[in-house]
Amino acid sequence: MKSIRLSLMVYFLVLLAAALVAVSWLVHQTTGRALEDKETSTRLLLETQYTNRRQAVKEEFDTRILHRAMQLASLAQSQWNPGRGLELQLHPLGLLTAGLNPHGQLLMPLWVTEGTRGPVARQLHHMAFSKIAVAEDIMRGRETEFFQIYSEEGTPLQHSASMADNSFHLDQAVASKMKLLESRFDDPPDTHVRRVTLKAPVSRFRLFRPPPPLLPPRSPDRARRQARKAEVTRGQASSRPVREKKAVADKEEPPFLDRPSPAIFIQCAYDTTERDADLAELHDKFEMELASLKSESADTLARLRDHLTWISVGTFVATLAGGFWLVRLGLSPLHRLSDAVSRVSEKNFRLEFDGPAPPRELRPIVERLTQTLELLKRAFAREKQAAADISHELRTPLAALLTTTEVALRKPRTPEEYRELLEECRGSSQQISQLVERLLALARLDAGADTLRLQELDAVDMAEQCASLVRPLAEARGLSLRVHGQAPVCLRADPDKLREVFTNLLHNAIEYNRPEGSVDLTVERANGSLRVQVRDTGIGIAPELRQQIFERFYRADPSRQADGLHAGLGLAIVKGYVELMGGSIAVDSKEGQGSTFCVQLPAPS
Amino acid sequence: MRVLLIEDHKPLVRALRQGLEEEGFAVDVAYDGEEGAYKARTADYDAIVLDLMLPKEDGLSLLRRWRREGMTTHVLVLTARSSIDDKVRGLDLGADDYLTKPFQLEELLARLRALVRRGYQVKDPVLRIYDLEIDTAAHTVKRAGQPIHLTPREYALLHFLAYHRGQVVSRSMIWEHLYDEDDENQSNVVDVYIRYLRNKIDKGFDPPLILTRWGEGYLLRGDEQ
Repeated sequence: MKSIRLSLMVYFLVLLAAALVAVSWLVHQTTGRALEDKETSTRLLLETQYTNRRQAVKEEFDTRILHRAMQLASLAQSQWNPGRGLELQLHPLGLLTAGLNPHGQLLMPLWVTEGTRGPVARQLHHMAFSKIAVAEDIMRGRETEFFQIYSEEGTPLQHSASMADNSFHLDQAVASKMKLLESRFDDPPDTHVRRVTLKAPVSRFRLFRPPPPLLPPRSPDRARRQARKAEVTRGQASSRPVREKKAVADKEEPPFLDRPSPAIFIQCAYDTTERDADLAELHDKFEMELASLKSESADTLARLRDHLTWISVGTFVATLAGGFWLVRLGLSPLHRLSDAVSRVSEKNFRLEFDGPAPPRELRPIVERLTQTLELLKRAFAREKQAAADISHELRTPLAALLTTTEVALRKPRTPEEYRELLEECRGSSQQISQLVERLLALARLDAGADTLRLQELDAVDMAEQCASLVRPLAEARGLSLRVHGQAPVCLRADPDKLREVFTNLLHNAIEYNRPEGSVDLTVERANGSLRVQVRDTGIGIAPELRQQIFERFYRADPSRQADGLHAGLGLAIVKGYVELMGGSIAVDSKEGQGSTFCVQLPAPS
Repeated sequence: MRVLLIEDHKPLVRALRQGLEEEGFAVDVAYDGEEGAYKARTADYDAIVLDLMLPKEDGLSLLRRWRREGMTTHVLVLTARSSIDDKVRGLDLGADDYLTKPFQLEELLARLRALVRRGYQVKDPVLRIYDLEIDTAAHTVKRAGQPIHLTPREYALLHFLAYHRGQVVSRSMIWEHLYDEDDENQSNVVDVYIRYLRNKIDKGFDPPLILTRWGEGYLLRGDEQ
């Protein structure tokens, strides 16, 4: 990205969006699950309620039917029993008073047989009870109420008027298993009714129950004590024999005597339409509640989603604005740095940081920048100085050339005069040319465009050549120039550059020598390298200047500046060439006694 | 007119010297600051041409010292330093003119002439004495409208006398301003050139302009004489 602010904002907002989405999703999931749980439990509650209500309706309905059946049973009993119980209880008297009783004649055989308690009596009983008839007005019943009365044998005795020609059916197999006063509900197939079958005694008394056997009275306390004692002595098995005894006693009861009293079956049925409508209504209500529960949780979830969305959007927008402000705040030191940098100019290399000190993160940059600017400032000054030096070095011989030419052209001259002036011109041109050559050599070194053209050569031979080249100059100053070295010292090197190194060092040694001094050039091989030493007997170089002499345009003695060869570039070129050839140059000097320049070049034998 | 040339680049010195001498200047040369300072003290120059980057003593410090010591000789700074800063500094230190290398010889000569005129408080490059006209720019002389041919030496002598018109100038003054240090001092050389000049200027014209003050020297007739 091109802008830090933009990228920071984008990353930050993407992160925020991700976090918001994650949190929203979590909240949504958690709430959704909680809502689901709540819905499940509420539904369970509703279901239970529904089931209970349904059950209650059904039970109430059933109870109504049963009540009706019982009422009918009671009515049926009442058809028979009024005033008769007494008679039956006092049957010996009844026998006597049969004549007085309205139905005395009819009951007579009964009373007679009751006393005998035999099958005949029983048969008689049944015969008698098959004649049960409930009052017509009762039997008419309501439209929605159906009932039918059966004898104990299952013979239908009576049915309600509402049933018209229809009739119920009493399942004999079921009926025979029913106990007295037991009721059974069922829904007859192909009808809209709920039916109860009730087995009810025709009499309110248990006539045929034999009297309990006479047992000697026993103190309950004693009996309890006995039982406890037995428990203590026999532990767990204590109660078993007692129970067994009781069971045996039950079994010993004679079958006849165990027979229940004569009974009737009453089947009572109610039309279920109304109840079913109620149930349906209940069901509808339940369904509605379920639906509303569902929609309620869906609504809550949707609301939550809306809220989360709004909160997220709001947070996002607020963060966008706040983020811009924050990023701006965070980037302000960078702005200040940028301002400070933009104020840097060629006139002022100082990095002036406005306001408070730069933050810790920027300090390395500021320090580095300050250092770089300092370096740049020095380089700039050097460059400026070099440009001035170059222009000076070029302008002076150029001025000489120009002036000489103008003088020559001012008036007609003799051939000799022209020759002289032309010689002057040539001298100046050569000087300019040499200077340009040297500047070009340095420029090539700077640009790294200089390449070595290596070839096999003898260093001692080359030293001799160069020495012979400068010997006239040395002799003119009364110096002795000697070359030491045992030829051949062969190596692969660039002859032009090596020659330049030799010549420059020799020139310097001659230039800065004392009259009648000496120059010694030593060429030898040492430790796989070529060592060249140029020793002079000049004024020497102060220790603090020993590095400066290799700088461009540095001149040990400014008085020699103007004779062209000594523009202060020679040693700079020598150093450049030596380093290009992979070697090194050093200077050793004693002030007043002379200097020794030592060049080491790699020269594997 | 005598000029001191302080410059360390020998080919340039040689060319300049020849050019100046052929223009009628007497030229003394100093190759470094010390020598220049010495020569400037010992002789009375009409102008000094001063290089700035000099061995031994820098041109600017030389200039500063001269001005501090009250030397009024006009100084033309001739240097390779071409920046405005350098020019301003040179002029502010008391230089009268500033010329950067490389330069045109004609320009240098014109500037030197201007400096000399300024030294004698003359503005007009054409000097007029009676019916004599000396065009200092073209180096031509006319008397009563007739052109007169003079050798450089004769011209220089007339030129010098014209700048001192009405004033007696001694032979040594003439010598000092017309001959450089290398010329051998021969007292009658001045008299010889005066005679040549009289022959060319005064012969056949009236009044005679070159007058002799016995025991003192010569003078070019001023307005009051």
